Amino acid sequence: MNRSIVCGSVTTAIKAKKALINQGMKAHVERLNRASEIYGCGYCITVPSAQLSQALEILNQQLIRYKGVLEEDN
Amino acid sequence: MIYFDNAASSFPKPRGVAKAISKAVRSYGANPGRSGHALAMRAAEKIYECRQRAAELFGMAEPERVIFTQNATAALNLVLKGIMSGGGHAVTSDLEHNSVRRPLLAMADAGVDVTEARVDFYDDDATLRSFEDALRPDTRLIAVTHASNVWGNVLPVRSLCALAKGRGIPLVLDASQTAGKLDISMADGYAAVCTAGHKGLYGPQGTGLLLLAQGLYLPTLTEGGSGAASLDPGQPEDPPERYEAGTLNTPGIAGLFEGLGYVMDNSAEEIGLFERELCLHLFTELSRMTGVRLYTPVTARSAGLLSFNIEGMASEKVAAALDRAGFCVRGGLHCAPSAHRRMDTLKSGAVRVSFGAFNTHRQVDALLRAVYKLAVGG
Repeated sequence: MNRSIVCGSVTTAIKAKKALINQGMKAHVERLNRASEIYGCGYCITVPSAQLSQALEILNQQLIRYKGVLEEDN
Repeated sequence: MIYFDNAASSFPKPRGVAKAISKAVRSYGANPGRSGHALAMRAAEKIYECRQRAAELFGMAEPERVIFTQNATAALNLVLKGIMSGGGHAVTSDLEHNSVRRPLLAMADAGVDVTEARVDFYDDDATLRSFEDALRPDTRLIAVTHASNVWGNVLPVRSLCALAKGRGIPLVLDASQTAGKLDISMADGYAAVCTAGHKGLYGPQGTGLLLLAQGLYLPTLTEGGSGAASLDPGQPEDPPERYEAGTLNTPGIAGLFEGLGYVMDNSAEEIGLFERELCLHLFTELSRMTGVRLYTPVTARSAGLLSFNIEGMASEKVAAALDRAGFCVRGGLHCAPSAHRRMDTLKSGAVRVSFGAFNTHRQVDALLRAVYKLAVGG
C-alpha cells in the first residue's frame, strides 16, 4: 500500500523524490490521477504507507513544500 | 575558418553537447512537466539535473531558483522589469549592453529613471565611488555587466554588491561574458545573475539562465501553462514554474547540461585564465603593429576578448576582410553603444576578437599575420 504526497510542480516533486531517496527511502514521482478535480493537474510523490510520516518529516526538515497527502491511492 | 567570435556565441561546443541534444530529440522528446508517462518524466528529470548542475556551479542551495530562459536578454528583461515595475531610479554602468540598457529605457514612461555610472578602467575604487555617487534615496536597482562585451574589462562587482547590500538595493549581474570564465557565486549577495547558456557555458543557442536569490519574488512577464494547478487563474507562486510559462527547450537544456559539465570539469577559472593568455598574446603583438589602435589594456582581470581598429578602415570592412581570409571576428557596435561612446568609437565601431576554450596560440598567430597584412601591407 502506498501513499501520495501532492507537490506544487514537477520540479518540487523531483526535488522531493531525490531528498527521500538520499535518505534511503523508496519514492517515485507520479502524475496526479483522480485528484485533478481538486488540484487541477499536478504531480505527487508516492511512498510506502509505512514510511509516510518519515517522508513528511524529511520534506519538512529540508523545507520542501508539499500541498497535502491524498487520503487514498493516487 | 578560425572562430574568434565566442562573445557572441561559443563555437565549437564540447563533443558531448551535440550528442546530448540529439539524444533528447531522438530518445525522450516529450514535454517535461506536462504528462506522467515515462518519456515526459525522463525529460523532466534531465531538466532538473541541469538545474542542479547550474546551482552547483553558481553556489546556490536551491536548484528550483535556476530559471531557464531563451537567452540572457530574456532573463534580464524578466528581472529588470520585475524589480522596476513600480518605477524609481536605477543605476547601471556606462558600458552596458543593450540587453540591460533598453529594457530600462523602455520603462521611462513608467517612471524609471536611469543613471549610468562611469567605469574607471584602471582604478576600481574610482568605479566604486562613481556608483556610490550615482545612488539616490529612490534608487531601487543596480544592474551591471560583469565584463564589458566590447572592451573585456571586468568590473569590481563584489565590491559593488557589498555597496548595494549596505544600502538595501538589489544588484542584478549580467554575467553574459563571464559565466564559465570567472568564479561567480550567488553567495556573494547578488539579487539575480543573468547569463546566456550558449556562450561561456557552452550550451546551444536558445538557452539562458536567470539565477534568483532567495526571497526575490517577481511579477511575471509571460503567463501560460505550467503543468500544475491548472484551475488557478494565476501563475504558480513558486519558482521555477512561475517564470517558465510554456514548454521548455528540453533538447537545448540537455545540451546546456553537457556544456556546464565541461566547464565544471575544466574549471571556469582555468578556462578564463587560458583565454586571457591568448588575449594577452594578441594584445602584445597588436600593440607593436603600426596602424593598429588598441583601447584598453588586457590585465589579469580581463575577460578573454579585446577590440581594435585599423587606421583608415571601418571596423566592418576589417571584419569582412578577415572573414575572406578565414577568420570569424565581429565589427560594428556589438549592441553596446554606451561602451563605444566611452571610447569615441561610435562612428567607426571596432573589431572584436573573443576567445573560447578551443582556440590556440597558433590560431592567434595566424590572425596576427592577417591583421598585419591589412594594417601594414605585405
